[in-house]
Amino acid sequence: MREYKIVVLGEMGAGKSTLVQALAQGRAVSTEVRNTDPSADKPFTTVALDYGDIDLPGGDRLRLYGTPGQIRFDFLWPILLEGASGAIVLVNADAGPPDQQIRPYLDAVDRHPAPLPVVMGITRMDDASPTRRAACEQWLERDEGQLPIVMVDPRDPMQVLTVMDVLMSQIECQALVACHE
Amino acid sequence: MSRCRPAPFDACTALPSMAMVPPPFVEDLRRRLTGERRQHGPVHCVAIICNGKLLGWLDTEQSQAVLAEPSAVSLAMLQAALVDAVPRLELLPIARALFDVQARRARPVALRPLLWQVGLGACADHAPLPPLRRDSCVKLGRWPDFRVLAHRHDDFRICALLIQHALDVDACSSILGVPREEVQAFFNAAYLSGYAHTDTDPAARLTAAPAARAGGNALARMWRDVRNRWSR
Repeated sequence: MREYKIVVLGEMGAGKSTLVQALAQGRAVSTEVRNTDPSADKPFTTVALDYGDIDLPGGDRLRLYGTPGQIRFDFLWPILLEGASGAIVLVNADAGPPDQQIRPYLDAVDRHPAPLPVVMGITRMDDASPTRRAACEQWLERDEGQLPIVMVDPRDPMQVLTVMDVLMSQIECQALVACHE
Repeated sequence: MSRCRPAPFDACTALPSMAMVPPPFVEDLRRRLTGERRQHGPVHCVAIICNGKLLGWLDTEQSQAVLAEPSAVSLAMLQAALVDAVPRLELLPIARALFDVQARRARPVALRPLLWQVGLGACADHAPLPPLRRDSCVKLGRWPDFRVLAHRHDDFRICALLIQHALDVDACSSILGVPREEVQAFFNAAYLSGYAHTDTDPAARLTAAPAARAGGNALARMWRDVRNRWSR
């Protein structure tokens, strides 16, 4: 049996737990507790990690890990990224500037010993204030397009599948090109 | 409907035409989309002229277009003109004020999705969109903006490959197992929209054979199985 790992990163409230639950079809292990952080407007937050898995053909397994988003847990990120096949970085359009928001997570991915396929998912665009929405759109305009960016509502399984399709495309093609290097 | 009526085009408001021979339409359009400066400085607003008939106005800086005809008609006219043996499409620089006037008369549409659609359907017989040739190697300079582009399932796979490696249509089709005509349509759309460029000297030839051994490839294949199961 072979095991594969996908890691979901992003700020608290970006939708990591919801995305892992959607992919695990509601069977993910969650470590959500009542949020006591006054800076974040959400009733519950993940204190350890989210975990879900998907049965693959032939008995193989795809493991999904949602990281705790707070910077104080950044020591966990490289541990979870070890051996990962790819990463999803979620950006909360209704939070701070996207470039500052994603930097710690992309830095963690960059420190990974092998180049890691990454897809960025923008969440909560519909909830974002006009100012934050505009900031997000400006950031997208400036973005150089070296990573795929997908709008996603983590509550919608079909949109979550699209994020996974993009990530899997990258995983596949990175392997194809690596075979020739 | 006012947006269906061809709007008057005042030649006096167009910028002076350039003394040099204009570059071919597709190349001229791509240069503007990728922000390359022209000899006369950046001119972001242009009118599209086809055999002397006005098709619409483009603002490449804001990535907007105003069409003189309903979009289905303009789309078909553009597609037909792009593959015409005799080049008859041209871009005529115009003042921004003229574009703004047209944008107030009819609602602008997003430019890249428009060009993407034109490119996808430009060649009915799945031929390359000139100046692309059958053996042109193409590489993506950036990921297309799939927030606004309509996409087919395999487009992500084509993107993921072409962002890493320049390939011709046959190689891309054989490596990914995607029908040649779908790959050609993608090449045409990505090239016309300015996302892709030709690469005359790809570093190494990719072939399909060793790919089957790759672990990432196995994962992706299994994922497609899972996805198909879930989609049923």
